Amino acid sequence: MNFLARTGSEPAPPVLSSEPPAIRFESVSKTYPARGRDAQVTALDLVSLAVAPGEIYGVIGRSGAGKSTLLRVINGLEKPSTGRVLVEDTEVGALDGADLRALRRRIGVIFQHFNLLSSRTVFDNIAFPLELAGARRATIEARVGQLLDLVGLDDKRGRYPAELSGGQKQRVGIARALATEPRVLLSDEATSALDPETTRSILELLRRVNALTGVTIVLITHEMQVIKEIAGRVAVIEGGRIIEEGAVYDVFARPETSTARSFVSSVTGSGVPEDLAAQLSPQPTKGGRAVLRIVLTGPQATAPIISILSRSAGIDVQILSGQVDRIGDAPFGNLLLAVPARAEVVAAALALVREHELSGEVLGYVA
Amino acid sequence: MSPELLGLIADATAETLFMVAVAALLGTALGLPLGVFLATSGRGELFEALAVNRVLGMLVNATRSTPFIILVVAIIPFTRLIAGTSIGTNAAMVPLTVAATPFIARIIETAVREVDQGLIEASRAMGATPLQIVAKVLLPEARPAIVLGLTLTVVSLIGYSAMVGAVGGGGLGDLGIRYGYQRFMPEVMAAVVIVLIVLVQTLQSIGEALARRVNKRIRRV
Repeated sequence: MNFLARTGSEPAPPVLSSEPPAIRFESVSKTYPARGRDAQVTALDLVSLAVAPGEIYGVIGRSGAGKSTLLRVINGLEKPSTGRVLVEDTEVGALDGADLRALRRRIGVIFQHFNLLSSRTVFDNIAFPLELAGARRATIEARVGQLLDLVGLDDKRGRYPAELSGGQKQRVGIARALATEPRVLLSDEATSALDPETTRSILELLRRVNALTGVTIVLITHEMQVIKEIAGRVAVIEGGRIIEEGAVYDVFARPETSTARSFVSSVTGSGVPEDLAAQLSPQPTKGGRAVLRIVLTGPQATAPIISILSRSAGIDVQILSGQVDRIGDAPFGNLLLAVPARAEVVAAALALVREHELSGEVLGYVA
Repeated sequence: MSPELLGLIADATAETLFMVAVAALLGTALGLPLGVFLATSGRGELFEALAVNRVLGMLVNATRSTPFIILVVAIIPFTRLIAGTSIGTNAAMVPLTVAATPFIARIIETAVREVDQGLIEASRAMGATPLQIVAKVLLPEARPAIVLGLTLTVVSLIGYSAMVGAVGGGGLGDLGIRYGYQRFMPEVMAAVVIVLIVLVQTLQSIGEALARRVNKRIRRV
């Protein structure tokens, strides 16, 4: 029995510009041949996607889902087995040697473990990609100075990485990735080694960099919180396939796969508390209660739904759990409510929910 | 101890230091590129060349497993070819260099392999050429380990240089054997040993201090 009612409008998808996508995957697969006792591994399975210039695109998946490979085919550290990856209309797999290195200078990367050179100071770490590109000393001085300002580490320019905190190291990593003024920034679990507070400040910095420079950001993560804080669109990857993709708000509001649902519930509290889940039964019991999930999305997300239910339909509503949050600038929430398990009450409640352009479903019944 | 003996000891010390210095320099000049290549030519690495890697590895192992005193004798024709003679300080530098090179190569290889793979990946992602990665990432990052390894090499070479004394190579070992042992002058033997101990201690301390200085991984407040 499923009273799933999906109504209500979510914010429009981002306006697709007439510019070509910054990054495009065309049916990209990557398989690693069997070696020794290890079977063949398919890291990417017919992945197609397009990332618009200037957007922040999140890819979420569990470890081993293919996230890293997806990132590594963008800068040509791996070549696709089949299919094409295009960065600003250049096919990455067709490049070699100097051309590939030139492309890589237009793609900055930040890493989970920062990967700073321990033998170089903060200044020299940020200068490193410029040195590689053969920039003149004066150019380097000026550019690194700007970047130190941008990431707020001007007072640490002569320090070595060992003397910095994790958050400071990642700031150096971001400054370094931006040194050659790349068009694309790849973030490989950049906040996974950081505490929540530092994670927020790093994501804030990335958002500011994106707004300031218009750099396209592709970030992979296993934390839905990161997607929620910063990404505009998200792809859910599992077993090398993109199993779900869309505007972050839509995926949060209507996750379609169980994987997406579990990622979403990890931050929205849309999951059912364990003790309650254990009591749920599919059939109503006499005198029992029905458990409803109401998803608060769209323009009516802030509608006073509980007073509507109790006042205009006279339904006794009990709040079991709930969370109201914001995704991007739009409010979003999840409520678990219990109402008397009589069929007419449940139907009236769902009708009212639908009337207010929210979605509601019956999860089950408790005594 | 007579002034003549002191003069002999001073000369022998200078000879030893000269032999060791030249062998260490030449050994580094040859062993450094060899070690870097050994560390970067495996499967999936920067300069992948499995066959060459294996052949060089075997060559290094063969040299390393030959006892030094046998190596000295075995390569006498080669020594003559290079130094024009098989006796004396100049000749002794040839087997010392031949022994030092694979030793240094292995030390460099180990030090370079210790460098975090993530740094190589990051550098490639930044568009570094393989040579830039070696010069700007691998060697600087491995520097503390390399300095300690070279210190170890120099100390070992001092020991080896005493052995070449047995075949007329000059230096402290030669002095100890000819005067201390063959002429029954225990005070010369004692002096030689003391000088060697002081040399090794000093070099080891200098090496460690240098390694500490170039190691930026330690937090200093």
